[in-house]
Amino acid sequence: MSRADLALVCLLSVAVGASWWHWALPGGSAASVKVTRAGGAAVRYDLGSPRVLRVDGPLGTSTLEIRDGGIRFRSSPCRQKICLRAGWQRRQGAVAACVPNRIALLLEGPGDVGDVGDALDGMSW
Amino acid sequence: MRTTLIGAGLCLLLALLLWQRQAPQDPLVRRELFSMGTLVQISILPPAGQAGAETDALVNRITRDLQSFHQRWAPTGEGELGRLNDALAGAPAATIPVALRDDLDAAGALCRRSGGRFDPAIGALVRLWGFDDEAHFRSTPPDQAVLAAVLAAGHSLCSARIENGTIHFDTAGAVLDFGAAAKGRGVGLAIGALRAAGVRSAIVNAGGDLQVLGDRGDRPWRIGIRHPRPTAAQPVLATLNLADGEAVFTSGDYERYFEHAGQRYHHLLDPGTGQPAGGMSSATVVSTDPWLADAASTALFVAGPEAGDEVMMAMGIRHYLWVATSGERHVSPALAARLKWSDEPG
Repeated sequence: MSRADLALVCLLSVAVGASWWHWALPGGSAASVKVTRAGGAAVRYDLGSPRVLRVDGPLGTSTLEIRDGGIRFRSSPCRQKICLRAGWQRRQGAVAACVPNRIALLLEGPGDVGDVGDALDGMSW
Repeated sequence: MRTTLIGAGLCLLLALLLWQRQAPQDPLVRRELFSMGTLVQISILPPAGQAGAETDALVNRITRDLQSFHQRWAPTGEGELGRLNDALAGAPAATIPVALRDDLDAAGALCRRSGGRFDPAIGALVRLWGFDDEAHFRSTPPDQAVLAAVLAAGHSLCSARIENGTIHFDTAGAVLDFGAAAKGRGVGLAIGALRAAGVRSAIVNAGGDLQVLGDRGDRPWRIGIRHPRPTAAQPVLATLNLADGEAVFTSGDYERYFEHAGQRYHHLLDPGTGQPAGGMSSATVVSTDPWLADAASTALFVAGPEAGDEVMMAMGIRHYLWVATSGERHVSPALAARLKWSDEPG
């Protein structure tokens, strides 16, 4: 086997791997989350990096937890706790909010027009 | 030579794959605002050449419109409905503000078609249960004697007379609360403003109640319906594609509720009993009229599994589904043809 042939075999292997990565992985999982609070700039976080966020709103501090590719409200000073009941969010397009404390989470990427995959444009609840 | 050419071709393919995977371009412009007591998301596929500033200006205008709308329909305060409720607190009849007249007429008709399951005159009950305001949220059911007295007053929009711009109840103290339909009107208002501005593709989602405009580029908008008892394996109950102008509204027992002595008390009250309606976990309605969809999803939830089909027929709704508290699910034939359950194979 010549050097050129060897290089070709290596390239073929990488191309097959890349094709699987491109087409076979599910498209419904979100890659990042946009955290919005009223009156403040939106901030994006990678869902692949576990962390605990403390976000201040008009009622006090809400605590958010990022873990295992998802995010949830862990605590919030609101009374109804609707945000906590929403639980873990992992899908692209998913939303959770603490409306009284004016904090919202929006899960994003890597969707694209035509890339129906497992992704949803919205959720009715 | 041939090996070099094949190698170069593979390099090109590899580069293309990596570029496409790492730099997805989503042309949707998304904006979020807090309005109507919820988070409103407006997602627009802007026409080619439209600048981001134009989209921002449009969203800002819609934000202001929704804030005015919310104030007008708030059951308390200085808005039109708040002032009407103030007047009705001391008298059985009051002049309806001009801005509310058509909608009150329409709501009265919907109340009758739903057999009283959708009734905006349950404001006093909503207050008693503490579901009207975050600050009033309670952790125990209200005093049943007080509740019985509220029910005995018999205030219902179904039987109220609306004549010459005046609404007449039999007694004073009626409280109108459009929490079961105002969001539908607001979503429709936002979609109307987008359409009037020349937007052809958009989706407006107000706290899980949504309406679409056009399609999402070269495919329909694809919507999920939340499972009322979600698990990590099945957070979504079903999915469906929406046609231009369709709205999806869901009423469920899983968001606004409290638990007392092991029982769940949710915010969807049965106007007939004054208690949280039993029998349903969630009810979803699809219609091109978001106000109707909003009212009908409430009516369907309150109607329960026994009367659900009958009430939907009376309200002219063909596309609906529900999940009963038993876990049993039911879908209308028209919606079944286009719905995909998330636990359905394939």
